Amino acid sequence: MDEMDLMKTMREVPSPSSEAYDRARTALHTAMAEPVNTVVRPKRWTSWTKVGVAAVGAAAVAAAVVMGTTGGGSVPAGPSDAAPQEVVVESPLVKLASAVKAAGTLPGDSSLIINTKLLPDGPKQYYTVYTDKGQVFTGDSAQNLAATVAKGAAEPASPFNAKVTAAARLAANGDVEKAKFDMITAAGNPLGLGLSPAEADKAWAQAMAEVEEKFRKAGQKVPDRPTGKDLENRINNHLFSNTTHALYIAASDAEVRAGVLKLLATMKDVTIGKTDVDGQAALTLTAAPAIQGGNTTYVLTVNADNGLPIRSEGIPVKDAAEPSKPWVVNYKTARVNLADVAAGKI
Amino acid sequence: MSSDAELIGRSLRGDTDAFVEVISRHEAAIGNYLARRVGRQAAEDVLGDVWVAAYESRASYDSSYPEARPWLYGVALNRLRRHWRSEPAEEPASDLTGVASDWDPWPAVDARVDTQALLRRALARLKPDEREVLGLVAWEDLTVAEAGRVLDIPAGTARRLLHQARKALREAPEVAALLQVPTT
Repeated sequence: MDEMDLMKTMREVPSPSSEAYDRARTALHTAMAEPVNTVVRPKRWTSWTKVGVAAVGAAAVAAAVVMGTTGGGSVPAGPSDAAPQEVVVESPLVKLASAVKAAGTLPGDSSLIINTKLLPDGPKQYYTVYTDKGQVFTGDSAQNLAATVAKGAAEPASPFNAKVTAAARLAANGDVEKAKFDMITAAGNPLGLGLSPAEADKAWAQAMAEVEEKFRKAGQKVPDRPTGKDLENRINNHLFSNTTHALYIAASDAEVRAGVLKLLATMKDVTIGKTDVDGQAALTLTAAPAIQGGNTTYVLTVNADNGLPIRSEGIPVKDAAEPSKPWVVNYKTARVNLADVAAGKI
Repeated sequence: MSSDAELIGRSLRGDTDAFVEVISRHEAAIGNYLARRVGRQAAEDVLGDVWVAAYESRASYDSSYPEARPWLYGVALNRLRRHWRSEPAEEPASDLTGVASDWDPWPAVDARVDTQALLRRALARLKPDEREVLGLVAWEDLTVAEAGRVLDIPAGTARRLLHQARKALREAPEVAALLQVPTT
Protein backbone atom coordinates (compact mmCIF):
# COMPACT_ATOMS: atom_id res chain seq x y z
CA MET A 1 0.00 0.00 0.00
CA ASP A 2 1.26 3.48 -0.80
CA GLU A 3 -0.03 6.99 -0.21
CA MET A 4 -2.33 6.81 -3.25
CA ASP A 5 -3.96 3.68 -1.90
CA LEU A 6 -4.49 5.47 1.40
CA MET A 7 -6.08 8.37 -0.45
CA LYS A 8 -8.48 5.99 -2.13
CA THR A 9 -9.74 4.86 1.28
CA MET A 10 -11.29 8.33 1.55
CA ARG A 11 -13.03 8.03 -1.77
CA GLU A 12 -16.33 6.47 -0.76
CA VAL A 13 -18.87 8.98 0.47
CA PRO A 14 -22.66 9.08 0.52
CA SER A 15 -23.80 10.41 -2.85
CA PRO A 16 -26.32 13.19 -3.23
CA SER A 17 -29.88 11.92 -3.23
CA SER A 18 -31.85 11.42 -6.43
CA GLU A 19 -34.12 14.27 -5.31
CA ALA A 20 -31.06 16.52 -5.14
CA TYR A 21 -30.15 15.62 -8.72
CA ASP A 22 -33.72 16.43 -9.74
CA ARG A 23 -33.60 19.78 -7.96
CA ALA A 24 -30.28 20.61 -9.60
CA ARG A 25 -31.73 19.84 -13.03
CA THR A 26 -34.73 21.98 -12.23
CA ALA A 27 -32.37 24.84 -11.38
CA LEU A 28 -30.65 24.30 -14.71
CA HIS A 29 -33.93 24.26 -16.62
CA THR A 30 -34.96 27.48 -14.87
CA ALA A 31 -31.69 29.14 -15.80
CA MET A 32 -32.01 27.98 -19.40
CA ALA A 33 -35.48 29.44 -19.58
CA GLU A 34 -34.29 32.85 -18.40
CA PRO A 35 -32.82 35.19 -20.94
CA VAL A 36 -30.56 36.87 -18.39
CA ASN A 37 -28.12 35.54 -15.88
CA THR A 38 -29.61 34.28 -12.69
CA VAL A 39 -29.22 36.50 -9.69
CA VAL A 40 -26.33 35.59 -7.45
CA ARG A 41 -27.88 35.36 -4.05
CA PRO A 42 -25.90 36.58 -1.09
CA LYS A 43 -24.86 34.29 1.68
CA ARG A 44 -25.04 35.56 5.19
CA TRP A 45 -22.02 35.32 7.38
CA THR A 46 -23.97 34.92 10.53
CA SER A 47 -26.43 32.24 11.27
CA TRP A 48 -29.90 32.04 12.59
CA THR A 49 -31.41 28.89 13.98
CA LYS A 50 -30.40 26.04 11.77
CA VAL A 51 -33.07 25.32 9.19
CA GLY A 52 -34.59 28.73 9.47
CA VAL A 53 -31.32 30.43 8.93
CA ALA A 54 -30.18 28.34 6.03
CA ALA A 55 -33.49 28.65 4.32
CA VAL A 56 -33.94 32.29 5.03
CA GLY A 57 -30.35 33.09 4.14
CA ALA A 58 -30.52 31.15 0.91
CA ALA A 59 -33.60 33.02 -0.09
CA ALA A 60 -31.88 36.30 0.57
CA VAL A 61 -34.44 37.28 3.09
CA ALA A 62 -33.89 40.61 4.72
CA ALA A 63 -35.81 42.02 7.58
CA ALA A 64 -38.37 44.67 8.18
CA VAL A 65 -37.63 47.23 10.80
CA VAL A 66 -38.83 50.24 12.61
CA MET A 67 -35.86 52.42 13.22
CA GLY A 68 -35.54 55.03 15.89
CA THR A 69 -35.05 58.65 15.12
CA THR A 70 -32.01 60.77 15.61
CA GLY A 71 -33.06 64.34 16.02
CA GLY A 72 -36.57 64.05 14.67
CA GLY A 73 -35.78 62.99 11.14
CA SER A 74 -38.26 61.02 9.10
CA VAL A 75 -38.61 57.37 10.05
CA PRO A 76 -39.22 54.58 7.59
CA ALA A 77 -42.50 53.03 8.67
CA GLY A 78 -42.55 49.32 9.28
CA PRO A 79 -44.77 46.72 10.84
CA SER A 80 -45.99 48.18 14.09
CA ASP A 81 -45.03 45.18 16.19
CA ALA A 82 -41.32 45.83 16.15
CA ALA A 83 -39.77 47.79 18.95
CA PRO A 84 -37.94 50.94 17.97
CA GLN A 85 -34.21 51.22 18.45
CA GLU A 86 -32.36 54.23 19.58
CA VAL A 87 -29.21 55.38 17.97
CA VAL A 88 -26.29 55.40 20.36
CA VAL A 89 -24.11 58.34 19.51
CA GLU A 90 -21.69 58.24 22.42
CA SER A 91 -19.67 55.37 21.06
CA PRO A 92 -15.92 55.00 20.61
CA LEU A 93 -16.83 53.62 17.21
CA VAL A 94 -18.21 56.98 16.11
CA LYS A 95 -15.00 58.69 17.14
CA LEU A 96 -12.97 56.05 15.35
CA ALA A 97 -15.19 56.40 12.28
CA SER A 98 -14.41 60.11 12.11
CA ALA A 99 -10.69 59.44 12.37
CA VAL A 100 -10.86 56.76 9.70
CA LYS A 101 -12.73 59.00 7.29
CA ALA A 102 -10.39 61.90 7.93
CA ALA A 103 -7.35 59.73 7.29
CA GLY A 104 -8.74 58.81 3.87
CA THR A 105 -8.13 55.83 1.65
CA LEU A 106 -4.62 54.80 0.77
CA PRO A 107 -3.57 54.80 -2.90
CA GLY A 108 -4.61 51.86 -5.02
CA ASP A 109 -7.64 50.65 -6.91
CA SER A 110 -8.61 47.53 -4.96
CA SER A 111 -8.95 45.93 -1.55
CA LEU A 112 -7.10 42.71 -0.84
CA ILE A 113 -8.56 40.61 1.94
CA ILE A 114 -6.79 37.50 3.14
CA ASN A 115 -8.86 35.53 5.56
CA THR A 116 -7.78 32.48 7.42
CA LYS A 117 -10.38 30.09 8.72
CA LEU A 118 -9.30 27.77 11.49
CA LEU A 119 -10.83 24.42 10.64
CA PRO A 120 -10.49 21.11 12.45
CA ASP A 121 -7.88 19.90 9.96
CA GLY A 122 -5.85 23.08 9.99
CA PRO A 123 -6.06 26.68 8.81
CA LYS A 124 -7.32 27.50 5.32
CA GLN A 125 -6.53 30.75 3.60
CA TYR A 126 -8.70 32.58 1.10
CA TYR A 127 -7.50 35.49 -0.99
CA THR A 128 -10.00 37.93 -2.41
CA VAL A 129 -9.51 41.16 -4.31
CA TYR A 130 -12.43 43.58 -4.52
CA THR A 131 -11.80 46.30 -7.08
CA ASP A 132 -13.28 49.74 -6.69
CA LYS A 133 -15.20 49.06 -9.91
CA GLY A 134 -16.99 46.13 -8.28
CA GLN A 135 -15.04 43.19 -9.70
CA VAL A 136 -14.18 40.30 -7.40
CA PHE A 137 -11.24 37.93 -7.90
CA THR A 138 -10.52 34.98 -5.69
CA GLY A 139 -7.86 32.41 -5.01
CA ASP A 140 -6.74 30.07 -2.31
CA SER A 141 -3.11 31.12 -2.60
CA ALA A 142 -1.29 34.26 -3.67
CA GLN A 143 -0.19 32.54 -6.88
CA ASN A 144 -3.66 31.27 -7.63
CA LEU A 145 -5.10 34.75 -7.07
CA ALA A 146 -2.49 36.34 -9.34
CA ALA A 147 -3.33 33.85 -12.09
CA THR A 148 -7.05 34.55 -11.73
CA VAL A 149 -6.51 38.30 -11.96
CA ALA A 150 -4.09 37.95 -14.88
CA LYS A 151 -6.71 35.96 -16.78
CA GLY A 152 -9.40 38.51 -15.94
CA ALA A 153 -11.50 35.68 -14.51
CA ALA A 154 -13.66 37.77 -12.20
CA GLU A 155 -16.51 36.32 -10.22
CA PRO A 156 -20.02 37.18 -11.39
CA ALA A 157 -21.02 40.69 -10.33
CA SER A 158 -22.72 40.80 -6.95
CA PRO A 159 -25.54 43.33 -6.55
CA PHE A 160 -25.52 42.49 -2.85
CA ASN A 161 -21.89 43.57 -2.45
CA ALA A 162 -22.62 46.79 -4.30
CA LYS A 163 -25.60 47.54 -2.08
CA VAL A 164 -23.91 46.95 1.26
CA THR A 165 -20.87 49.04 0.34
CA ALA A 166 -23.12 51.83 -0.95
CA ALA A 167 -25.09 51.76 2.30
CA ALA A 168 -21.87 51.96 4.31
CA ARG A 169 -20.70 54.95 2.26
CA LEU A 170 -24.04 56.64 2.83
CA ALA A 171 -23.63 56.16 6.57
CA ALA A 172 -20.13 57.63 6.43
CA ASN A 173 -21.44 60.68 4.66
CA GLY A 174 -24.19 61.48 7.10
CA ASP A 175 -27.55 59.84 6.48
CA VAL A 176 -27.21 57.01 8.95
CA GLU A 177 -30.95 56.28 9.16
CA LYS A 178 -31.35 55.88 5.39
CA ALA A 179 -28.13 53.86 5.38
CA LYS A 180 -29.57 51.50 8.00
CA PHE A 181 -32.66 50.98 5.89
CA ASP A 182 -30.55 50.28 2.80
CA MET A 183 -28.24 47.97 4.69
CA ILE A 184 -31.02 45.91 6.22
CA THR A 185 -32.84 45.56 2.90
CA ALA A 186 -29.69 44.99 0.81
CA ALA A 187 -30.81 41.46 0.03
CA GLY A 188 -34.54 42.15 -0.26
CA ASN A 189 -37.42 43.17 1.93
CA PRO A 190 -39.70 40.22 2.62
CA LEU A 191 -40.59 41.40 6.10
CA GLY A 192 -41.83 44.62 4.64
CA LEU A 193 -39.68 47.46 5.86
CA GLY A 194 -41.79 50.54 5.31
CA LEU A 195 -44.86 48.48 4.45
CA SER A 196 -48.16 48.12 6.23
CA PRO A 197 -48.62 44.94 8.33
CA ALA A 198 -50.82 43.48 5.57
CA GLU A 199 -48.24 44.20 2.92
CA ALA A 200 -45.52 42.83 5.18
CA ASP A 201 -47.50 39.60 5.60
CA LYS A 202 -47.74 39.30 1.85
CA ALA A 203 -44.03 39.94 1.37
CA TRP A 204 -43.21 37.31 3.98
CA ALA A 205 -45.51 34.76 2.36
CA GLN A 206 -43.84 35.34 -0.99
CA ALA A 207 -40.39 34.86 0.51
CA MET A 208 -41.41 31.71 2.34
CA ALA A 209 -42.88 30.23 -0.83
CA GLU A 210 -39.33 30.20 -2.22
CA VAL A 211 -37.96 28.17 0.67
CA GLU A 212 -40.98 26.08 1.58
CA GLU A 213 -39.32 22.99 0.16
CA LYS A 214 -36.40 23.20 2.58
CA PHE A 215 -38.68 23.36 5.58
CA ARG A 216 -40.80 20.54 4.23
CA LYS A 217 -37.72 18.39 3.72
CA ALA A 218 -36.64 19.06 7.28
CA GLY A 219 -40.10 18.09 8.52
CA GLN A 220 -40.69 21.58 9.83
CA LYS A 221 -43.52 24.00 9.47
CA VAL A 222 -42.92 27.16 7.48
CA PRO A 223 -42.58 29.84 10.15
CA ASP A 224 -44.97 32.70 10.58
CA ARG A 225 -43.69 36.20 10.12
CA PRO A 226 -41.76 37.05 13.26
CA THR A 227 -43.17 39.72 15.49
CA GLY A 228 -42.19 41.71 18.56
CA LYS A 229 -38.80 40.93 20.04
CA ASP A 230 -38.20 38.13 17.58
CA LEU A 231 -38.68 40.55 14.71
CA GLU A 232 -36.39 43.07 16.34
CA ASN A 233 -33.68 40.43 16.77
CA ARG A 234 -33.94 39.39 13.15
CA ILE A 235 -33.70 42.97 12.03
CA ASN A 236 -30.57 43.42 14.09
CA ASN A 237 -29.18 40.14 12.80
CA HIS A 238 -29.48 41.40 9.27
CA LEU A 239 -28.09 44.81 10.09
CA PHE A 240 -25.09 43.28 11.84
CA SER A 241 -24.59 40.58 9.22
CA ASN A 242 -24.77 42.87 6.21
CA THR A 243 -22.72 45.62 7.82
CA THR A 244 -19.90 43.29 8.81
CA HIS A 245 -20.04 41.78 5.32
CA ALA A 246 -19.38 45.27 3.92
CA LEU A 247 -16.38 45.52 6.23
CA TYR A 248 -15.00 42.17 5.13
CA ILE A 249 -15.24 42.94 1.43
CA ALA A 250 -14.12 46.57 1.42
CA ALA A 251 -12.19 47.15 4.63
CA SER A 252 -9.40 49.05 2.95
CA ASP A 253 -11.86 51.66 1.65
CA ALA A 254 -11.86 54.30 4.38
CA GLU A 255 -15.36 55.53 3.54
CA VAL A 256 -16.87 52.07 3.74
CA ARG A 257 -14.99 51.33 6.93
CA ALA A 258 -16.11 54.57 8.55
CA GLY A 259 -19.72 53.90 7.57
CA VAL A 260 -19.56 50.38 8.94
CA LEU A 261 -18.31 51.66 12.28
CA LYS A 262 -21.05 54.28 12.42
CA LEU A 263 -23.74 51.72 11.66
CA LEU A 264 -22.45 49.26 14.24
CA ALA A 265 -22.36 52.10 16.77
CA THR A 266 -26.15 52.38 16.48
CA MET A 267 -26.74 48.82 17.67
CA LYS A 268 -27.67 48.39 21.31
CA ASP A 269 -27.02 44.66 21.08
CA VAL A 270 -23.40 45.27 20.13
CA THR A 271 -21.15 46.08 23.06
CA ILE A 272 -17.73 47.61 22.71
CA GLY A 273 -14.68 46.49 24.66
CA LYS A 274 -10.95 47.13 24.62
CA THR A 275 -8.25 44.55 24.08
CA ASP A 276 -4.94 44.18 22.34
CA VAL A 277 -3.79 41.81 19.64
CA ASP A 278 -0.05 41.19 19.47
CA GLY A 279 0.58 44.50 21.16
CA GLN A 280 -1.81 46.42 18.89
CA ALA A 281 -4.67 48.20 20.65
CA ALA A 282 -7.95 46.78 19.44
CA LEU A 283 -11.68 47.05 20.01
CA THR A 284 -14.00 44.12 20.44
CA LEU A 285 -17.52 44.44 19.09
CA THR A 286 -19.60 41.75 20.70
CA ALA A 287 -22.97 40.94 19.19
CA ALA A 288 -25.35 39.49 21.75
CA PRO A 289 -26.53 35.91 21.23
CA ALA A 290 -30.09 37.22 20.85
CA ILE A 291 -29.21 38.55 17.40
CA GLN A 292 -27.35 35.37 16.47
CA GLY A 293 -30.21 32.95 16.90
CA GLY A 294 -29.51 32.54 20.61
CA ASN A 295 -26.70 30.03 20.27
CA THR A 296 -23.62 32.08 19.38
CA THR A 297 -21.85 35.15 20.66
CA TYR A 298 -20.19 36.88 17.71
CA VAL A 299 -17.07 38.85 18.52
CA LEU A 300 -15.52 41.09 15.89
CA THR A 301 -12.10 42.53 16.73
CA VAL A 302 -10.91 45.62 14.89
CA ASN A 303 -7.73 47.67 15.06
CA ALA A 304 -8.40 50.51 17.53
CA ASP A 305 -6.39 52.96 15.47
CA ASN A 306 -7.77 52.39 12.00
CA GLY A 307 -10.85 50.14 12.29
CA LEU A 308 -9.47 47.38 10.06
CA PRO A 309 -10.82 43.93 10.91
CA ILE A 310 -8.43 41.60 12.70
CA ARG A 311 -10.55 38.67 13.70
CA SER A 312 -14.10 37.37 13.98
CA GLU A 313 -15.10 34.60 16.27
CA GLY A 314 -18.21 32.62 17.07
CA ILE A 315 -18.42 31.47 20.66
CA PRO A 316 -21.10 28.86 21.39
CA VAL A 317 -23.60 29.78 24.06
CA LYS A 318 -23.46 27.21 26.82
CA ASP A 319 -26.61 25.12 27.14
CA ALA A 320 -28.21 26.65 24.03
CA ALA A 321 -31.22 24.74 22.72
CA GLU A 322 -29.46 24.28 19.40
CA PRO A 323 -25.73 24.19 20.17
CA SER A 324 -23.40 25.87 17.73
CA LYS A 325 -19.76 25.17 16.96
CA PRO A 326 -16.92 27.54 17.67
CA TRP A 327 -15.28 29.20 14.68
CA VAL A 328 -12.58 31.77 14.09
CA VAL A 329 -11.60 33.79 11.05
CA ASN A 330 -8.51 36.02 11.00
CA TYR A 331 -8.22 38.88 8.52
CA LYS A 332 -5.42 40.70 6.80
CA THR A 333 -6.36 43.62 4.62
CA ALA A 334 -4.41 45.83 2.28
CA ARG A 335 -4.93 48.49 -0.34
CA VAL A 336 -3.45 47.27 -3.62
CA ASN A 337 -3.28 47.92 -7.34
CA LEU A 338 -4.90 45.23 -9.44
CA ALA A 339 -1.98 45.29 -11.89
CA ASP A 340 0.42 44.48 -9.04
CA VAL A 341 -1.74 41.55 -7.99
CA ALA A 342 -1.73 40.22 -11.55
CA ALA A 343 2.05 40.53 -11.59
CA GLY A 344 2.28 38.50 -8.40
CA LYS A 345 3.52 41.45 -6.33
CA ILE A 346 1.62 40.65 -3.17
CA MET B 1 -23.10 9.20 -30.11
CA SER B 2 -22.34 12.90 -30.11
CA SER B 3 -19.36 14.08 -28.10
CA ASP B 4 -19.83 16.47 -25.21
CA ALA B 5 -18.16 19.18 -27.29
CA GLU B 6 -20.69 18.68 -30.09
CA LEU B 7 -23.59 18.82 -27.64
CA ILE B 8 -22.27 22.01 -26.07
CA GLY B 9 -21.94 23.47 -29.54
CA ARG B 10 -25.56 22.59 -30.25
CA SER B 11 -26.66 24.15 -26.95
CA LEU B 12 -24.96 27.38 -28.00
CA ARG B 13 -27.17 27.33 -31.09
CA GLY B 14 -30.28 27.08 -28.90
CA ASP B 15 -30.68 23.34 -28.34
CA THR B 16 -31.08 23.31 -24.56
CA ASP B 17 -31.76 19.57 -24.48
CA ALA B 18 -28.25 19.03 -25.77
CA PHE B 19 -26.82 20.66 -22.67
CA VAL B 20 -29.06 18.60 -20.41
CA GLU B 21 -27.65 15.53 -22.14
CA VAL B 22 -24.11 16.63 -21.22
CA ILE B 23 -25.15 17.08 -17.62
CA SER B 24 -26.85 13.72 -17.42
CA ARG B 25 -23.66 12.03 -18.60
CA HIS B 26 -21.60 13.49 -15.78
CA GLU B 27 -23.95 14.34 -12.95
CA ALA B 28 -23.10 11.34 -10.79
CA ALA B 29 -19.37 11.98 -11.08
CA ILE B 30 -19.72 15.67 -10.30
CA GLY B 31 -22.22 15.00 -7.50
CA ASN B 32 -19.82 12.57 -5.85
CA TYR B 33 -16.92 14.96 -6.34
CA LEU B 34 -18.84 17.66 -4.50
CA ALA B 35 -19.86 15.24 -1.75
CA ARG B 36 -16.23 14.23 -1.25
CA ARG B 37 -15.24 17.84 -0.87
CA VAL B 38 -18.00 19.32 1.26
CA GLY B 39 -20.24 16.47 2.42
CA ARG B 40 -23.52 15.31 0.97
CA GLN B 41 -25.74 18.06 2.35
CA ALA B 42 -23.66 20.93 1.03
CA ALA B 43 -23.09 19.07 -2.23
CA GLU B 44 -26.83 18.88 -2.73
CA ASP B 45 -27.08 22.62 -2.15
CA VAL B 46 -24.27 23.47 -4.56
CA LEU B 47 -25.05 21.05 -7.41
CA GLY B 48 -27.70 23.20 -9.07
CA ASP B 49 -25.36 26.20 -8.95
CA VAL B 50 -22.71 24.15 -10.74
CA TRP B 51 -25.07 23.29 -13.62
CA VAL B 52 -26.21 26.88 -13.93
CA ALA B 53 -22.61 28.17 -13.87
CA ALA B 54 -21.62 25.59 -16.49
CA TYR B 55 -24.52 26.56 -18.69
CA GLU B 56 -23.73 30.25 -18.39
CA SER B 57 -20.06 29.75 -19.20
CA ARG B 58 -20.45 27.14 -21.94
CA ALA B 59 -19.42 29.65 -24.61
CA SER B 60 -15.90 29.48 -23.18
CA TYR B 61 -15.74 25.70 -23.61
CA ASP B 62 -12.71 24.63 -25.64
CA SER B 63 -14.31 22.42 -28.29
CA SER B 64 -10.99 20.75 -29.07
CA TYR B 65 -11.73 18.57 -26.03
CA PRO B 66 -14.48 16.07 -26.87
CA GLU B 67 -14.98 15.09 -23.22
CA ALA B 68 -16.43 17.77 -20.90
CA ARG B 69 -15.94 16.11 -17.54
CA PRO B 70 -12.65 17.85 -16.62
CA TRP B 71 -14.22 21.17 -17.56
CA LEU B 72 -17.21 20.41 -15.34
CA TYR B 73 -14.85 19.56 -12.47
CA GLY B 74 -13.28 22.97 -12.99
CA VAL B 75 -16.67 24.68 -12.87
CA ALA B 76 -17.54 22.70 -9.75
CA LEU B 77 -14.24 23.63 -8.10
CA ASN B 78 -14.92 27.31 -8.75
CA ARG B 79 -18.32 26.98 -7.14
CA LEU B 80 -16.77 25.20 -4.18
CA ARG B 81 -14.27 28.01 -3.73
CA ARG B 82 -17.12 30.48 -3.61
CA HIS B 83 -18.98 28.22 -1.23
CA TRP B 84 -16.01 27.94 1.14
CA ARG B 85 -15.33 31.63 0.97
CA SER B 86 -18.87 32.75 1.59
CA GLU B 87 -19.75 30.33 4.33
CA PRO B 88 -18.98 31.19 7.92
CA ALA B 89 -16.20 29.13 9.40
CA GLU B 90 -18.60 26.91 11.26
CA GLU B 91 -20.08 25.69 8.02
CA PRO B 92 -16.93 24.08 6.59
CA ALA B 93 -16.24 22.70 10.04
CA SER B 94 -19.63 21.09 10.23
CA ASP B 95 -19.23 19.82 6.68
CA LEU B 96 -16.06 18.02 7.68
CA THR B 97 -17.78 16.59 10.70
CA GLY B 98 -20.62 15.51 8.50
CA VAL B 99 -18.30 13.77 6.10
CA ALA B 100 -16.62 11.90 8.92
CA SER B 101 -19.87 10.89 10.54
CA ASP B 102 -21.37 9.78 7.24
CA TRP B 103 -18.44 7.45 6.74
CA ASP B 104 -19.55 4.61 8.85
CA PRO B 105 -21.32 1.90 6.93
CA TRP B 106 -18.63 -0.61 7.78
CA PRO B 107 -17.73 -2.35 11.03
CA ALA B 108 -14.25 -0.91 10.92
CA VAL B 109 -15.55 2.57 11.15
CA ASP B 110 -13.33 3.66 14.01
CA ALA B 111 -10.16 2.63 12.26
CA ARG B 112 -11.35 4.24 9.05
CA VAL B 113 -12.24 7.51 10.68
CA ASP B 114 -8.95 7.54 12.52
CA THR B 115 -7.15 6.93 9.26
CA GLN B 116 -9.13 9.66 7.60
CA ALA B 117 -8.48 12.09 10.42
CA LEU B 118 -4.74 11.49 10.13
CA LEU B 119 -4.84 11.76 6.38
CA ARG B 120 -6.87 14.95 6.54
CA ARG B 121 -4.32 16.46 8.84
CA ALA B 122 -1.54 15.60 6.44
CA LEU B 123 -3.58 16.82 3.46
CA ALA B 124 -4.24 20.12 5.18
CA ARG B 125 -0.52 20.85 5.15
CA LEU B 126 -0.25 20.50 1.37
CA LYS B 127 -0.41 23.55 -0.84
CA PRO B 128 -3.93 24.06 -2.25
CA ASP B 129 -2.99 23.22 -5.83
CA GLU B 130 -1.06 20.14 -4.73
CA ARG B 131 -4.10 18.97 -2.79
CA GLU B 132 -6.39 19.58 -5.76
CA VAL B 133 -4.26 17.64 -8.22
CA LEU B 134 -3.87 14.78 -5.78
CA GLY B 135 -7.61 14.59 -5.12
CA LEU B 136 -8.50 14.76 -8.79
CA VAL B 137 -6.14 11.93 -9.64
CA ALA B 138 -6.77 9.72 -6.60
CA TRP B 139 -10.51 10.20 -6.19
CA GLU B 140 -11.80 11.25 -9.57
CA ASP B 141 -9.61 8.97 -11.68
CA LEU B 142 -8.44 11.81 -13.87
CA THR B 143 -5.12 11.70 -15.63
CA VAL B 144 -2.55 14.26 -14.57
CA ALA B 145 -3.16 16.16 -17.82
CA GLU B 146 -6.90 16.22 -17.16
CA ALA B 147 -6.28 17.46 -13.61
CA GLY B 148 -4.21 20.23 -15.14
CA ARG B 149 -7.11 21.09 -17.40
CA VAL B 150 -9.43 21.33 -14.38
CA LEU B 151 -7.06 23.74 -12.69
CA ASP B 152 -6.17 25.54 -15.92
CA ILE B 153 -2.48 24.78 -15.57
CA PRO B 154 -0.07 23.01 -17.95
CA ALA B 155 0.17 19.23 -17.69
CA GLY B 156 3.82 19.52 -16.70
CA THR B 157 2.93 21.76 -13.80
CA ALA B 158 0.19 19.37 -12.71
CA ARG B 159 2.68 16.51 -12.85
CA ARG B 160 5.11 18.41 -10.67
CA LEU B 161 2.36 19.28 -8.19
CA LEU B 162 1.29 15.65 -7.99
CA HIS B 163 4.86 14.56 -7.41
CA GLN B 164 5.30 17.14 -4.66
CA ALA B 165 1.98 16.21 -3.08
CA ARG B 166 2.74 12.50 -3.04
CA LYS B 167 6.21 13.09 -1.63
CA ALA B 168 4.93 15.42 1.08
CA LEU B 169 2.17 13.00 1.98
CA ARG B 170 4.50 10.03 2.06
CA GLU B 171 6.89 11.88 4.32
CA ALA B 172 4.20 13.19 6.68
CA PRO B 173 4.66 11.43 10.03
CA GLU B 174 0.97 10.48 10.22
CA VAL B 175 1.00 8.91 6.77
CA ALA B 176 4.36 7.22 7.29
CA ALA B 177 2.91 5.60 10.40
CA LEU B 178 -0.21 4.50 8.54
CA LEU B 179 1.87 2.97 5.77
CA GLN B 180 3.73 0.87 8.28
CA VAL B 181 0.67 -0.75 9.84
CA PRO B 182 -2.01 -2.83 8.21
CA THR B 183 -5.21 -0.88 7.68
CA THR B 184 -8.72 -2.17 7.27
